[in-house]
Amino acid sequence: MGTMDLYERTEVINEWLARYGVKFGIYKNNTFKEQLFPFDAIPRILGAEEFAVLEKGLKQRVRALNLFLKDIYGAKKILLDKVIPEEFIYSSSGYTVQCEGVCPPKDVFSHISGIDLVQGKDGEWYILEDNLRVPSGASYPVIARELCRRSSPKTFRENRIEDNRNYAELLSHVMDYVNTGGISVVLTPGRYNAAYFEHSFLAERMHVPLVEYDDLIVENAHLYFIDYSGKKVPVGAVYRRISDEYLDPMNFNPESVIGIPHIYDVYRKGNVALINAPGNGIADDKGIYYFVPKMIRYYLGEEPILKNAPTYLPFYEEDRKYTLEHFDRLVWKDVAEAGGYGVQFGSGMSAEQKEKFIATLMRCPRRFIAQEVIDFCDLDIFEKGERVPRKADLRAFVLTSEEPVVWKSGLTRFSRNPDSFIVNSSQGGGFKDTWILSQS
Amino acid sequence: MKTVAFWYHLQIRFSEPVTHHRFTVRSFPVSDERQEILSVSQELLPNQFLENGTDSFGNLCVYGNAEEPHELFDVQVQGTARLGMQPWTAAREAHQVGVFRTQTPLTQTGPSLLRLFSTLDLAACRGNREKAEAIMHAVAAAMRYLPGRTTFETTAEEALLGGAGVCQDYAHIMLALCRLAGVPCRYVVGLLIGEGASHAWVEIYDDCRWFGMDPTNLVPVTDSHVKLSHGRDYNDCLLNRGIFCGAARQEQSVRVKVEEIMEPSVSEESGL
Amino acid sequence: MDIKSIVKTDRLYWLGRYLERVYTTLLLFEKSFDKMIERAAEYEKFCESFEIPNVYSDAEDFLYRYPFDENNPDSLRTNLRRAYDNAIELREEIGSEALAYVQLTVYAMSRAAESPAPMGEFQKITDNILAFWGCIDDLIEDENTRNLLKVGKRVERIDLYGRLHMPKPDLVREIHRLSGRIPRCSIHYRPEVIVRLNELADAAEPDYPTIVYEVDRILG
Repeated sequence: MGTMDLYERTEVINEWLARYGVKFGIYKNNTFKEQLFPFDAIPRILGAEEFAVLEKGLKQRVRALNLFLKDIYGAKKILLDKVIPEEFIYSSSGYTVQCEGVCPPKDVFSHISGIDLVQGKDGEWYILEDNLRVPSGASYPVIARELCRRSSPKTFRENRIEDNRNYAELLSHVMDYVNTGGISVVLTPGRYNAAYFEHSFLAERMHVPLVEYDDLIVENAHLYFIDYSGKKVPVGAVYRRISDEYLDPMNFNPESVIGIPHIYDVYRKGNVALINAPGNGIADDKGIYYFVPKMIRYYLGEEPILKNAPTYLPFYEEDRKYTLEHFDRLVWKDVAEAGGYGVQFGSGMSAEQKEKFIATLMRCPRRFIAQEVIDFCDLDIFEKGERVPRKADLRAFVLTSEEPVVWKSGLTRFSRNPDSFIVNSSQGGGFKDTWILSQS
Repeated sequence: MKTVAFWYHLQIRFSEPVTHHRFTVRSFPVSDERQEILSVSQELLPNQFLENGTDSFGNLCVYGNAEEPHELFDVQVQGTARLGMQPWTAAREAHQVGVFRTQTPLTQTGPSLLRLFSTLDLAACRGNREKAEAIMHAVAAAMRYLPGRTTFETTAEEALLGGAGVCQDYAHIMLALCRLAGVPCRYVVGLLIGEGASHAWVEIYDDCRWFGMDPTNLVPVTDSHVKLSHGRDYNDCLLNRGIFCGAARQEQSVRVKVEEIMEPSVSEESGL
Repeated sequence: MDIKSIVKTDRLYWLGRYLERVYTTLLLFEKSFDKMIERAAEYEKFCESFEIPNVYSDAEDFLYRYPFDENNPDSLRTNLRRAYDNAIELREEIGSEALAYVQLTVYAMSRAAESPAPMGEFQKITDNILAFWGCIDDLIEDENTRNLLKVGKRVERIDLYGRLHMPKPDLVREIHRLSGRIPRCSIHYRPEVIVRLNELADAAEPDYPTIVYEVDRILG
């Protein structure tokens, strides 16, 4: 495949990314800094057939997760049938009691699902985690693709690659589909948020206002955007990039100063769509992850197409025994943590750390999951002109309106540190474009 | 069965004018199997924007906002109700009430609760109601009614350790113990016949029904209680939740009066 | 975007003002820079005419701290930072292409601060600011958005020209341009200030301090 022409332009592309301010923010010693998100020009390439399998599996998974959310905040049949033990629901920080009995417009809970996968050396794909709250990252491959095409048209003439620049259109369609009447807006916590670039970029591409909390107001049963003349413009859909906790001080954390008071009451009445729906944290909880294959069988009556990484729940006696016996070869995750934090390798702990960890584990087995370390396929990156292998994952984006649609691309993140398995941008990683090859 | 007239008055005084006030008031009784609200009227000030809503527990709320400066927030609810038509209210199925079997930060157990729990002989009890009754007696025996010893933030564990408290503490301790026993239960806020402040008690789940029990008065809830709202604990049943602009101190007062009345007879109503 | 909040309206106006401030003061700084080759004390005159406090110990100190000191509220860099702080929150209003020119200006300023011969980078700053204005005219469909930016630019220019006692024809031209532009955008302004500015422009001798005073209170 002729891609050398593209690789030689890595530097130009990164300069272009800097020009467009493709950055993410981080806090170091309590000061906010904007950092460029390093781009590596070697794409992750998925063949049409391989992608077709992923696509089918991802749609299936997201369909089941949506049904689970509807069920768990409604009839709770899955508890009646004892597929998931009740304590995994109610002791999870993702379970949101305010969502009981509330159905979002058109029954869509997870409009944008960011599903993280890795590929094992055996070629098999494994789901690492589901992100159904405010998954970020789709904007980066969109803009990188634009710049790669500018830099090396030849590469894109010679390779048949699915266009991924339609992300904003897909997202607009989702927003229009669930909109209850009124304008659509993107709600950002502000420019000091890590993903502010993405918020502003998606607002630009969707041609909708990027708003902050004080641009919106609830009066009686409706949400309004206040324009410069003081006119109140009805809002029908909010793509909110702030977490449930901060969304509405009258219904969630009363300390929040970046929320919109009573927005949740308007949502509860069905008078505005919130994207994604509040309460989704129960479905992407690391403890609930274990049960997703069971959900697929339960709700859809199908065998899961995509596998979970082999996972154990120390909550179950049998799993606890196994995980303690094989402690060192497992990776341990604290279900309450996110963003690559709270992940520890059994083999990496000192005797003392291990003893302390096991004591916590025995006291609170529900808090942890243990996974087999997957020997995943490395991807090459350029480092000082050399091709070197690095750990990488793939975040696939599934957008749900009438049906789930898998975006024909994804965010491939890699670790720049050769010894690290953690690919999060907040921990210094870079990103790649993800190519899906066309059928013909 | 009794017919009562109830009157409830919530007032918040601000030490200086506040603006951009957002509030949610959760103190309106609704009819169920045990209580029938025969008539009700409410008056809420300021009333620039008011809207009815229902929270996820099914409680009736009025939310709204008042943008202009004001120093007083005033809610009056009054009406008449028939109480004790049944000793229970309808509930969802057992697998749907798990949230009420789960401890909350206010009912989280500690050594005192676990010690008290270990003294209970619940194995002999048949069903949730008998268990709850045993628990209610244990709570009453372990606590002294003494206002001023606890606050709105006192947990069940802290209150039990102190051995004294008010209706809110009795209810929280009872909830903690019932949940330890695997009995779904909820916190209830309402009004009691007589004059004074608002009251709190619990409801116990048994076979698709909620049964009210009042651990402070050591009685089952039948025809002396007017229920306003329920939730997992005190925090779910705040009579009022509000935020506003201004550095004002606020003072909240609640006054309640419930008295038995003669039910208007049919002939009087029809005027014959 | 045709639906606009009051915050974005303000940000557009201030982006126009700060970019203009950086642009015009940079041009004048470059002229002083040249004069200072022969006459070091020229910087004192510069401060005086801009009505900025002369906090500099000597010419060399001025030549670094006036353009580059991030802690100096009057430095070029601080004013550019203010422009950027507004621009970064306007991507969906002005578009990524126009925003990129502000970003490039910021990069050029950082490089200039590191450079022993900053003039080459200064040229890039002016180039990018001019490109920004070209881009605005070319790519922004919404007339109100364009006008808000340009009103900011005109107001800043009148303010600077007034402070610097620029020739009357230049001032009159700017006041006329502002008078035509400001009713065509969504900013809240005081119409009586426009009337007053036109009166002042018509006078035989421009009353510079009054012009500066009036233009600074133009927003309602």
